[in-house]
Amino acid sequence: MAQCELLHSISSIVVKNPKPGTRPEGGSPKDKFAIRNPKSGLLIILLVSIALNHCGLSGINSWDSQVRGSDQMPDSIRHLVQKLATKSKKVENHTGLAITYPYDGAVFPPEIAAPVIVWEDANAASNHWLIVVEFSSQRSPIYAIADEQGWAPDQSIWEAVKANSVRAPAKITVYGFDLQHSDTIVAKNSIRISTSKDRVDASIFYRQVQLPFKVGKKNFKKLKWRLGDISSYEKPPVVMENLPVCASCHLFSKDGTLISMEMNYKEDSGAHFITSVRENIELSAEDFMSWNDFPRPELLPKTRGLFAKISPSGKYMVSTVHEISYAALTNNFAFCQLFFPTYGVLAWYSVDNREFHLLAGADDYDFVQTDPSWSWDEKYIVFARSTTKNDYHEDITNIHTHIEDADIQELNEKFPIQFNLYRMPFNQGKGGIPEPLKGASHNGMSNYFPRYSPDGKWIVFTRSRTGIMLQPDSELFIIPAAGGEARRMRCNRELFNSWHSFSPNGKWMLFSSKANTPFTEIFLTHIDANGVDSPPVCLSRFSDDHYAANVPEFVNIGPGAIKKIKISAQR
Amino acid sequence: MKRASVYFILTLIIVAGCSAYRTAQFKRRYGPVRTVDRTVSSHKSGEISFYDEVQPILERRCDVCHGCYDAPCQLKLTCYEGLERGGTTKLVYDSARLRPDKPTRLFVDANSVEEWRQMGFHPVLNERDQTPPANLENSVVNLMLQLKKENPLPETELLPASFDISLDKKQNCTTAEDFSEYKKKYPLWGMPYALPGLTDKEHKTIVEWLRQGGLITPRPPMSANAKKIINQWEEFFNGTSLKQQLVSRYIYEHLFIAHIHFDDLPDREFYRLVRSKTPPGEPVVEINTARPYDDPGVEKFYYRFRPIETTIVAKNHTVYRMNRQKMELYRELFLQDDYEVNKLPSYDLKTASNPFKAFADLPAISRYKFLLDDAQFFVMGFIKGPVCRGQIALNVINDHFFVAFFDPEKDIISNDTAFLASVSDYLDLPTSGENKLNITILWTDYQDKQKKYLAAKGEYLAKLDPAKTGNDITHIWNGDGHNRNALLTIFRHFDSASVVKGFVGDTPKTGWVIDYPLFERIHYLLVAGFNVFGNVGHQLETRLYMDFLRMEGENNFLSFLPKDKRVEERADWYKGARAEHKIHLEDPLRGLQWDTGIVYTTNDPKKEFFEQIIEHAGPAAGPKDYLNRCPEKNCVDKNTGPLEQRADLALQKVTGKRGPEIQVVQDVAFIHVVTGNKDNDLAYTVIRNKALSNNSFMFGEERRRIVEDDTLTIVKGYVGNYPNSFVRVNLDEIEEFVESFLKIRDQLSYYNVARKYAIRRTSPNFWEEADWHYQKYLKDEPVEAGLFDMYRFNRIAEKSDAEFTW
Repeated sequence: MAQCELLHSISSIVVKNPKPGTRPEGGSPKDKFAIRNPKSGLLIILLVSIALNHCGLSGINSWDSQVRGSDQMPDSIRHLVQKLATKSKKVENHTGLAITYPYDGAVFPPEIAAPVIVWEDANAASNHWLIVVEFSSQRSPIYAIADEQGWAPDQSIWEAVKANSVRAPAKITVYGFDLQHSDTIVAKNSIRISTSKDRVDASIFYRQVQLPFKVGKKNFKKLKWRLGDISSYEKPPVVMENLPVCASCHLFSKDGTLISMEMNYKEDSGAHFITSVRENIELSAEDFMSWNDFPRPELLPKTRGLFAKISPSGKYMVSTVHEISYAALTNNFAFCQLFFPTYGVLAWYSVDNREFHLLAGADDYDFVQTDPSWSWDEKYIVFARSTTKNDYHEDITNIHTHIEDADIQELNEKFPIQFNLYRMPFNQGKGGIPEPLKGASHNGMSNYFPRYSPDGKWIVFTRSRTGIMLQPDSELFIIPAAGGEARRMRCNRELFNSWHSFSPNGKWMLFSSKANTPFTEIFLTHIDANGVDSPPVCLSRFSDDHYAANVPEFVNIGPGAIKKIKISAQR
Repeated sequence: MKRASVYFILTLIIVAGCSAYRTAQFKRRYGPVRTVDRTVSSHKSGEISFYDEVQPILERRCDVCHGCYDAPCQLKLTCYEGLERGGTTKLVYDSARLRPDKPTRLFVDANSVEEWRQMGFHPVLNERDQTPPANLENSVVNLMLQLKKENPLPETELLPASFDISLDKKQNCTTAEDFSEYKKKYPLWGMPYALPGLTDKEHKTIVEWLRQGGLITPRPPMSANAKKIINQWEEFFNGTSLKQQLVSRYIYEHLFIAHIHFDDLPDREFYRLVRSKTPPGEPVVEINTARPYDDPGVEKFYYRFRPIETTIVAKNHTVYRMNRQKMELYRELFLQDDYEVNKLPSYDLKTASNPFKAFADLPAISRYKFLLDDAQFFVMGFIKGPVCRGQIALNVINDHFFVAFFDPEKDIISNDTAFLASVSDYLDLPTSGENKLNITILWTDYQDKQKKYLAAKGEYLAKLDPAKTGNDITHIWNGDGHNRNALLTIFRHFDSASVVKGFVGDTPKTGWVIDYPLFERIHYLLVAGFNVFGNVGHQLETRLYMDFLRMEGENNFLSFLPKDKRVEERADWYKGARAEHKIHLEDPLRGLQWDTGIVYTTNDPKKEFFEQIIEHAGPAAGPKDYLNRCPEKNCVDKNTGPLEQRADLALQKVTGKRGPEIQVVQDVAFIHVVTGNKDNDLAYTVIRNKALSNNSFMFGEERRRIVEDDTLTIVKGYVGNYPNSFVRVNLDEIEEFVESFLKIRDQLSYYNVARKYAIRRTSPNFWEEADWHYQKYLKDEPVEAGLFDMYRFNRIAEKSDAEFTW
């Protein structure tokens, strides 16, 4: 009977863990939860079937040993756990098992929903795993048993973990063992995680796009925008979809009362809307401005308001204008495009007066000036600059998207554009003299996508060997806002780190990465007063199969502040 | 029959049917086509005068394209007769023509409108009932002007891409009957094409003249002074002695394309020397042979002067001055008693096409001196004559090179009449073979002859100078101390070329030294012997043979350089394995054992040689080229005023720009420097010289480009007849302009400068600026100036109609 109970309990692990339809943290289901040994997988399925058919019992896979008389785990399993736990104390670290998520040292926000703990065990003998969460305080550990390489703590367990990992990190250890010889632990590894006392206190607005990236109405309709809440165990609600036109970069005013977004309204690629944040946003012509209204020499392609940014107060917008861009679709799935401007200057727009002006200091046509960013007090603009690279175009008078039978690396070698970050005073539109930002310029690398921390102390930017977006080697660096030594951030993952956004309180920063999957995911890192960041947390519930989650922005609004954005039927 | 063929034939039938239907409608409405005599003895009150009112408008607004051989549809608007002749779909310049065409030279190849109609020309003036409505509805000129009025040039910065302004633009030579189709298809293509339209006043003047029936009065008769001068010259040319006849024939064959100006007549009066069936005193009846050495076909003919009645366009305006000194020179050179002519040469092609046979009796030195005295004119004939149109015709020469000549007194080859007569068989020119297509055989034949000539020349020189001391600087003609024809510079502007006096510009890649046989052969190949109506074989042979002649001139130049530098220098001129092989096969460097009498002191003998030539020529070399060869910085011509000095100082910096960055700069740009005082405004020309690895091949020029070696030359005044661009800059902004010009490195930076300083095809002041340049040219060179051609005026940029999308 004990055996039957055990089998049943294991079966319940199989069905419960992880939650159906939920992507585990740190990787695709196929990658992370593949049963490595098909024979053992078949055996487990067989046993589970027997258990389900003959035992008819239910059970829980985790046990908080702090809680007396807990019914979280059947006694038989608990006994096994106790046996294993006793043994585990004598066990040395075994190689072959790696906890792939959470990252060692990761710091979680206090309000975040539970992650899935994921590991990879290369030992053939491991077919079941014991997970032990230990705390530095006197608090008793939490145990769990899994027959797959992942464990999703339920809400109560996770709250306990978070509550007890604020002052000191909690240690999570995973032991691999063979169920047939349950007294033998064959693999073991540990990580430590902690919970910050700093809340995020903001929502996350982001876009989802199917890969590979394609243009066309059919594909625009598949774009989705979601407003995410990190504390929710549900997928963030979709607030905008089924668009007949393309839309992309978006930003909010500092207080969260205004939203701006690039949207090709009425086929105008330079159109942006700026409107107040409300539950149901219905966009009409009055909400739109167009960068194409900025006077343009005829030879230049239409302006699209490239990397346009609304100012924190919402009074201004700044954007690249007169731009010529190189755009290519590659033969690579994850890095399916190469895009950068080769020419362009900055202009600003007065939201109140609806007037455009060139931004003196960033209006030198010998350079391409792009990717601007506001300081939160609107005193400075930091932007990326490079000498113009119009020789990259075969014919400057016929700019079009190239279809290249080459991967991103080959194209990068062919078009090795590098940008430097410059800072200049905005001076209420009068501009000033741009100065290279030390630590983010003339370093033999391409420096771009600067973002000020809300306290104005830091600038985080993206750095890669070449390019300005979607670069495999892109990493995040932090420098003092006035320039200084650049420090590589700890949050960087192995592949593509970019598009970062500070939480309004400045304690957290989110960013995108393709470290786990070609479908970009959103990560969150804690930043302390000294600008030191932590290994990140992955917001796996923000992802969908076949969709990349990109252009994430923190928004100073609550989770339900926007329910729907749509274009008015009266066009 | 295949289905496609059936459709094609059906389409043809439908199109022809539509056209016939429209013609029938016109006939019903306006009566049948018939000969119209528009001549009136004088104008009544209210009638528009062609000569006083219409022609000046045509000249400034229409002749800038509708002149010369490449006038669209051969519609020459440079004179009334051209208007009356009308247009045709036949091309003069047709590189694919298998059979020679019948020439269609205005005033020469037909004498009446009926004859032109028989030759396929359609009217552009009304030839139906002469009523005011019919006069307008049946006039292509009116319809084209009206179309422009209805659909003016778009007021955009860039000329829309739908306007084809390429040299080889497809012709659309519509008739009045078919104009509705044209209008439907090309609503923006009224005239002037791709340029701003006429002013209301200009438009009304022409339309009213057309409405009145396009009446014309007789031309004013020749002035008494002109008659007197012409009588003297005709008397000279029609002397009856054999010697005189031979001399006249020789001179005629060299001046037949000249715009002859008599110094004692008004600046803008020009004449052509023609062969006429009628003697002096009677109206000229021009003998219309294709070439000047063709059999005149009559027992007796006369050399006559015929006034040039057309607008003078710069592209074919080759001025030859006649005056008392010239007459004396002719007598001194040709009519002394030091030789005899006992028999006149025949006009059979074999003899007539070879000047060394036909004119063997004339002293070679005299012939050579005749050429040298107006060397620029004769070289201009090579490049302004009909041969010189299009890229392939011109890529036989480099974009910029200097030309000097052997001294006629010192050069043995140039003044040895007997030797030249003895090798005259080898000096046959391919133009003697009439329009054949077996180019390969002809090519081998002429290559062989050329080699034999060079071998014979080498042997002859070796006999005369066994020590092989070679040439020294005195072998270069110094212009007799005063003649500025001694040194010339040739510029090629992709599909046109120019020649100026003096060495202008920085040290070029190559140079030529020309002797008499070379000079004469180039003239007979490219001018006298070239038939613009000839077939493709004729055109190719001419181009191919010119390769030999260029190399001969270059090798002459090399013979002045140190022996051990010649191979190296030539290798630099003919880079690329194929070119090296070809040049070795066709023309291996000869005379390497010959020394040079010039002492060189630097490692750049080419530059040193040019400098020595300039020094040797003395006053004949002309003023120092401050703009392009200013070894010390900021040097200016102190003889000029402060405004000019400022402009010179600023603009000379332009020449510092070279290589890939000037690829976007136009080949020929005219700069108008506005000084604030209209009379003091200045004109400059910036020329782009494009380097080639070699000139050995007709095709694939782009592959042979060495853009790193491209240079710019700036010249005061005008060089080039086909401006590609106008720049207008205030003197106060000249430094700023130069600074921005120096920043040009690609199409976009060029565009940014051009949109600020250049006059565009769509600029409202386009015509004003074009007029200014023409007037300035006339002011600077009252005789040599001509109307510039705008057919090759380029856009500042051309934008694709496609929009960038993502």
